[in-house]
Amino acid sequence: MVRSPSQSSENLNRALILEQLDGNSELMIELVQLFSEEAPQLIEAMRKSLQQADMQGLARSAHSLKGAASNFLAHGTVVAALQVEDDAKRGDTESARTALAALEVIVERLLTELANLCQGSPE
Amino acid sequence: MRILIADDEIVSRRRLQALLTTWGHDVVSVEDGTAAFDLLKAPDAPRIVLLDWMMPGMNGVDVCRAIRNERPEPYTYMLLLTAKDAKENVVEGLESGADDYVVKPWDPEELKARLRTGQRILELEDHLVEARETMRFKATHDHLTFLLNRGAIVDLLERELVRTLREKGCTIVILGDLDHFKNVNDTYGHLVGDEVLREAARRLLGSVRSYDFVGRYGGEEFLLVLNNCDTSQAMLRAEEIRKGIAGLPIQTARGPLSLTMSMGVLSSKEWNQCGPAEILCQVDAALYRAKASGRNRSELARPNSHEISLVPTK
Repeated sequence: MVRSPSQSSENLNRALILEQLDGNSELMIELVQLFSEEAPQLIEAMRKSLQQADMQGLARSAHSLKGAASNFLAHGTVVAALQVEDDAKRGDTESARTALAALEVIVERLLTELANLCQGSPE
Repeated sequence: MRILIADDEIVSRRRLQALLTTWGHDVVSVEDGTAAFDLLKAPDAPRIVLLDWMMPGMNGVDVCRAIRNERPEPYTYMLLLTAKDAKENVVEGLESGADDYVVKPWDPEELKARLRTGQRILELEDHLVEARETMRFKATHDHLTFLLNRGAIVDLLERELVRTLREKGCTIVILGDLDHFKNVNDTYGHLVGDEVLREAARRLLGSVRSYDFVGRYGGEEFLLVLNNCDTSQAMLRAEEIRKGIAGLPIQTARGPLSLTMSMGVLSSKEWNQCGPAEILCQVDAALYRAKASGRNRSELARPNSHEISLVPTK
């Protein structure tokens, strides 16, 4: 069953994310910053790959985004990126296009949620 | 502990690096498998590596295979980090030579525990290698003098004779025996005898080049194998070595003792077709002549014409 990512918000759990980082909230802020720079680049790369029908490149970028998002336990993004990766590996351009559009929406939402998470930091 | 991490994705890499550093590790991080492989091949490479599976260039599994093939020692403990959690993935990962397999998103406490396992295995590995090296040394060296033992020096002689014949070179073989050594043991006791043997061994080693071989052939008999020599130098070299023993009394717990050594000398060039057994027999005969004609001297083993015609072909 494929979740419909555009419907879901990540509902990030700050305590759980911090647990993944040994409670280091400074590291969390740093990683969020890195992700905020990296995610749009990866999305851009995916768009280009799709345009050029470079399915291998598309799968690689989707895989990277999936790995990056997993550090924040952002399951919705992980699932959406996996969908793109799987579609790309199957060479299903049409599905990949739809999946990428959905991924873009959820990544946008994730970035906002992550930014809120950092502003809510006591530090 | 120095740990190498290889991950092409920056957030995961940074998180890993930050946590490992917090846990007290010295972290080296690279962005792809090829860079990881190059680092792991280098001397003093990190012994533990965390490898992302999917990477451009060599991926994690490629690195595991290559390291197991090309760098068996010192052992590298390799963990694969990956989102691939299907059974066939786990099996492929471990079959490639990885020691452990961690599925993303990984939990810090679990990873910490897995790294401790890795460290424990490396410590065990180091102890085993050290024990093996100690055993190897003991198996090839004499316990008293630390020279090569009889088995090892005879093996070396055999190898050198083959090599020198192939390269049309010349190896000098010297069998030296301490004169009247039994008197030392009988008069001063075995402990002093041991001191004499150790000092004689030290002088013999000191009087040859670093690529020559010296072994304890028997009780007070020493076999020297000198490479890349010239027949004309044989007696010269032997005399130098002999004088190294006779020239200076040996200091012992019972005072200085003057000792001498008789030498049988042989140049392989003059015994080209002879095997090690014949060579040892001939050099022993030369040593016997040195003893018989007054000791503290060197005698060269010369094939006479009769013997030449009878030279065994082995």
